[in-house]
Formats: sequence, C-alpha cells, structure tokens
Amino acid sequence: MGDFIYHLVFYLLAASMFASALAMIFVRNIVASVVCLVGAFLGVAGFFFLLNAEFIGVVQIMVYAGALSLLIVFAIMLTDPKDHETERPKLNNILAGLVVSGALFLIMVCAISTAEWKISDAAPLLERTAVYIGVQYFTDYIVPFYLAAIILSMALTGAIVLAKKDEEGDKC
Amino acid sequence: MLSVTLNHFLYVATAIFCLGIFGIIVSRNAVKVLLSIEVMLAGVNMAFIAFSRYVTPDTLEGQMITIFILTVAAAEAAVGLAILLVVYRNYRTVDMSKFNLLKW
Repeated sequence: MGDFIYHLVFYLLAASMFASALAMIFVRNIVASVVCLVGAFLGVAGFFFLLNAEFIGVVQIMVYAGALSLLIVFAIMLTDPKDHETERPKLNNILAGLVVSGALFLIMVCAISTAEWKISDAAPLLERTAVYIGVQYFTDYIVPFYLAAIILSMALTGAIVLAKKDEEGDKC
Repeated sequence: MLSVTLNHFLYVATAIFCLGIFGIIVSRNAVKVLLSIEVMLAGVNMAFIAFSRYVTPDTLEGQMITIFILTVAAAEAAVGLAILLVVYRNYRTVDMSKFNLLKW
C-alpha cells in the first residue's frame, strides 16, 4: 500500500511539474509565469522529499520558491509592464525549440536506459542528515565552501554595482 | 505496476531540463529566459539528488553538490537580473530580439 502511494505521488508530481513548466513558457502574463515557476519548484521539492533529501527540499522551497521568485518579481516591478510581450511564441520558434529539445531528450533517454549504474546496497542515511551535511562542509568540502562564499559576495556586490542608478546620468 | 527506479527519476529530470532549453529557445522575453535557465538548473539538481539516493545513499555526495548548485544559481539569478535592469535602462525594452548591438 505504501509502495502504491509512493508511485502515485511520483507520477502526480511529475505531471504537475511538467504542466507548471509548460504553463510558465506559454502563459502571456509575466507575473503569472513566475507563479507557474513557483509551482514547478514546489514539485521539484516534493521529488527531493521522495528521495530522502528533506534538508535539500526545505532549502529548495526557501531559496527558490521564496527568495528567488521574489527577486524576479521585484525585477519585473522595476520595468514597465507595457514593455513585456503579451503575444504567444511564434510557430517557427516553437518548431525549432521542439526539434532541439526533443532531439536532446531522445539522446539522453537512450543514454540513460542503456547505462549501467553502480546501485549501492548500503543502508541510506536517514537520521540527522542536516548534521552530517554540516560536518561534511567543514571537513571534506571546506575549500568549495569558501569558494562558494566568495562567489556569493562577489555576485551580490556586482549586482548592486550594476543595478544602481548613475549619479551623472551617463549610461554605463 | 512498474516500480520506480533510478531511471524513472532521471527521465523526469531530463524532461525538465529539456523543457528549460525549449523555453530558452521559444521565449522572447528576457525575464522568461532567466526563468527557463532556473528550470534547467532544477532538472540538474533532481538528477544529482537521484544519484545521491541510489548510488551513494550513505555519504550523500549528491546532496553536497546540489547545495553548491543552489548557491551558484542564486548568484547567477542576481547578476542576470541586474544585467537585465541595466539593459532595460538603455533600451527601454525586455525583448530579446531588440538586443542587437553585437549582431553582425
């Protein structure tokens, strides 16, 4: 019974995520598009919960569905709504996109279905995963951790420098 | 009733990634292109978490990599939106086909 519920949740999440991403592309209003993106991100977080990654799922909801969509909505608010397109994508663009993404999808599906993964039989770590991840960060992954900190501070400084208004009115 | 294995999760992640690429090609709004890039990153994250669950369930290596991807994605979104605002200030539009300064 639990197995059946697992399958049901898997397929429902996959379908809802796919529908949200498609709606994100084809909806006309840009703010509605961001709302569809939040739905897709919540679906991804549900997948993380299915895969025993609760910590990452909660981080996904906080960072992506919360902070990032808010940032994008603020960026939309700083532009004029009349400048956003309200027309649907053109047919030849849709054909080109379908050819490229469909070809890549078929190639990847063939590659995945013929690959042989080293499925591990070890008991999955289910207790205190957040504690384990934190300890890993400050032992094995300390250099990437500091690099990520440097990247974040550089990116935020650069974003502030780019987005602030110029004093003299000259365009940068 | 077919059972859900690693391959099913990878198929879904690939589908989401390809939907992101489709959105990048199709949409002419610069904000929508940024949203599609985020969708692609979410697909990659799903693939990493699936590998973490099935290949290294005891050391959680995929989850560590996923947190780094989240960090870089947040930085990329901030810088991308700042660039978008600067371009909007100069061009008064967010239409990708109007940004033709570097076009041949």
